[in-house]
Amino acid sequence: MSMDRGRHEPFEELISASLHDDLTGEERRSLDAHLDGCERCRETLAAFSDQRRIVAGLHYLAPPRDLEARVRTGVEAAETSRPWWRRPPAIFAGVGGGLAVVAGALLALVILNGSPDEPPVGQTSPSPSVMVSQAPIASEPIIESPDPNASPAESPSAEPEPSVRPTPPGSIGWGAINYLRWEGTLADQRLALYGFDPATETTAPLLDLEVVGRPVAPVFSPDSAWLAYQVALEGRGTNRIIVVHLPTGESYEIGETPDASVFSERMTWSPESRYLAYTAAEIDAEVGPDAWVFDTLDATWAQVTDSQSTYAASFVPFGVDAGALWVSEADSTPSTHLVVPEDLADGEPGTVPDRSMDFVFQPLLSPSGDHAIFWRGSMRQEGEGWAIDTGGMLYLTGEPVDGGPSWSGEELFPTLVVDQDALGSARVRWSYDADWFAVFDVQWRGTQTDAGGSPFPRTDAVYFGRAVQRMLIEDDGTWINVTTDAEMERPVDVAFVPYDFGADVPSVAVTVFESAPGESGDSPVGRARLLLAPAAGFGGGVPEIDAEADWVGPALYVPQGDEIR
Amino acid sequence: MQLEDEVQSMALPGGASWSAAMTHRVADLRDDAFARLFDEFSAPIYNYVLRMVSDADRAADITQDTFIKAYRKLDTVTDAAATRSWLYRIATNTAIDDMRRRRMTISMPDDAPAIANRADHRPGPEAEAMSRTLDERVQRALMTLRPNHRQCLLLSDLEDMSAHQIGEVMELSYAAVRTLLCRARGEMRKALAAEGFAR
Repeated sequence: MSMDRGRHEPFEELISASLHDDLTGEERRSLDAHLDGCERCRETLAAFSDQRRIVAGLHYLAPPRDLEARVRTGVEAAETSRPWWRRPPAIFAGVGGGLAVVAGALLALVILNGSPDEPPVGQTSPSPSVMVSQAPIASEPIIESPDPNASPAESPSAEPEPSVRPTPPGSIGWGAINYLRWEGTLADQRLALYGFDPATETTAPLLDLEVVGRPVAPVFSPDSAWLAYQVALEGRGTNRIIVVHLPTGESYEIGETPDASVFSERMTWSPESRYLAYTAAEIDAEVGPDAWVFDTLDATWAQVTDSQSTYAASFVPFGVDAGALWVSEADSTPSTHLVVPEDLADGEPGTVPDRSMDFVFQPLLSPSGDHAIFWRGSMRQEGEGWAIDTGGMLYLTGEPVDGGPSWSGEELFPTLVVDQDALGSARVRWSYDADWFAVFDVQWRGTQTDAGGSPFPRTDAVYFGRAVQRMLIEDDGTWINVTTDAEMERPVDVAFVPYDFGADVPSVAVTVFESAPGESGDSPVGRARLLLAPAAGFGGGVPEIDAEADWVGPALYVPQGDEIR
Repeated sequence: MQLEDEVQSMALPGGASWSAAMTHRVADLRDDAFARLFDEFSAPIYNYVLRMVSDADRAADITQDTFIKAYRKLDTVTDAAATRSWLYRIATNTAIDDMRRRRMTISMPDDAPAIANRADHRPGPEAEAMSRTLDERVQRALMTLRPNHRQCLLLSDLEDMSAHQIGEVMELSYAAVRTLLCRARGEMRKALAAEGFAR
């Protein structure tokens, strides 16, 4: 019976499509030949044809007379209300009772790429709260980075030529491989920034961080003077957002994310390193997410949007829109809007964003700004945050137009069929070469396909693609699996780093989370290892950074000027 | 009819209703474009949503929300040819949101003829009674389908959209639409048989 049914199924799809004349010539010939000898399929054709006629014949009913007036009233209300992207004057800084910082400690020895005697940070904050600070450490010799006189305000493209890469572990930022290390007991935790020297495979602690916890999504400012990171608030299912001025060690706790989703983790620096854009919510007041901006000039932070459903996406790094910020509004029909830099500077967004895109959510721009990877799909609210609901898929923009993304995207996973519940979540990281990218922690809600004996896509794999070379993520594409037990291990972060494997592909530092025995894969209880691997895959063992520590990673890497296309 | 329009225009700030009078009087391209959009699509969208949710009041609410969202996002439409798909996509997503909120799967109880007794322009009482019965049976069959099957079938057979257009509305690939539509037809075939339709 099932075999018989299976024999007819392909033709049923052709019969269905034939009702629209939606067949190729070959399909039409194939169907006609089959129908000639198949009574069952002829019946199906007749039934489907009747059905189409019956549905098409449903009576067309007039809408209510007051519909036009209701829509008009709704539109007028929307017009007279404050646009969603405007910042309410009453809300300025101090998210969720947020903390400002006066950290008097000095980091005397660490010489950063930015000018250490030029802290662009004011000593006051809109919020009176003060966070106790400790002196950052520099227990190992610190080696000067290539250009200590470079201004923090310069864009990465304006940086001097690099000397020898990568720089030794004593440096932070440009050209150095850095990572976070979390250790200690619950009552006595320590989170610190470390450096790794690939030549000697030695590590060195560089800076103790004030706010401790499981580290998430760290990102340096392009000038390497600031570090933004999040720590998980496990009991609340959210993350605390922190920004640190590296030359002085001053820390600013600038908000709480609406949840711990991939959308909330996104933090983006403006190309001149003045602004950090991020997404924060006031969980206790049940206020949903909005885009916020931390201004390094005076160490203040301000709400940019006012919709309770908007997420920071990407700053535009180059071109005519350089310095503008893409923000995305979550909705059943999500959309993305450009906030011009003048609106960020005066803290009072007053002009209409000059460009908007429907059905685009949280585009992640490549370092060159030529391409973007973004989400499409219907979204729904979950708690204070938003999640992909149906039709979710990542897209890669096509050939750049006028130096920016074209926004006519291709599905990043072209071999997967997007149905009602498709790609629910995935994390994306661009390489500093603005071509390669990595996609991992892929949560595919559909049926996995068989890719040569391996399911596709896997949650424990890191997949690679290339934007310039148009290499999308296919089931026979480039991927690596850095885990040995998919149930207990999964990649939680990836950073492209200049580690030389002798292969003609970039290398990555993968943070692999291992659940503690007896814990589920989603539990935060466990440890993390930081593994190095070439993007083309590898055989045998791979170098592991700081293998003895409990929690190592994520890694950070800021390219030197000539590494960006 | 004329009296009603006058009463309505007095009650609303700005005077006349949208449609023609508004279009000619207000030199605002945005309102102009939106007025045309509303004139052209309000009835089809309402009917599509009505068949999706099987409740006239909810269909009106969803249609209203759809056009308010559309107005707000009007600047994002750069391809006039894609306007129809764009609008149906908003309507579809809004309807899905509504259904989720109400946890509605199958409704239309016998004592609540939600659709059939709404005013429309059908001829004589006998023909109306017959077609009402027919409509009710088809609607009951539709409501037994999974929501995405129902959407797909309605877009295809009620709105006469191609697989490509349905893909734009439902954010599905062309291949996925063909598969989904075939499954929907299979489900609907059984549902119609249960309502006494032949085959």
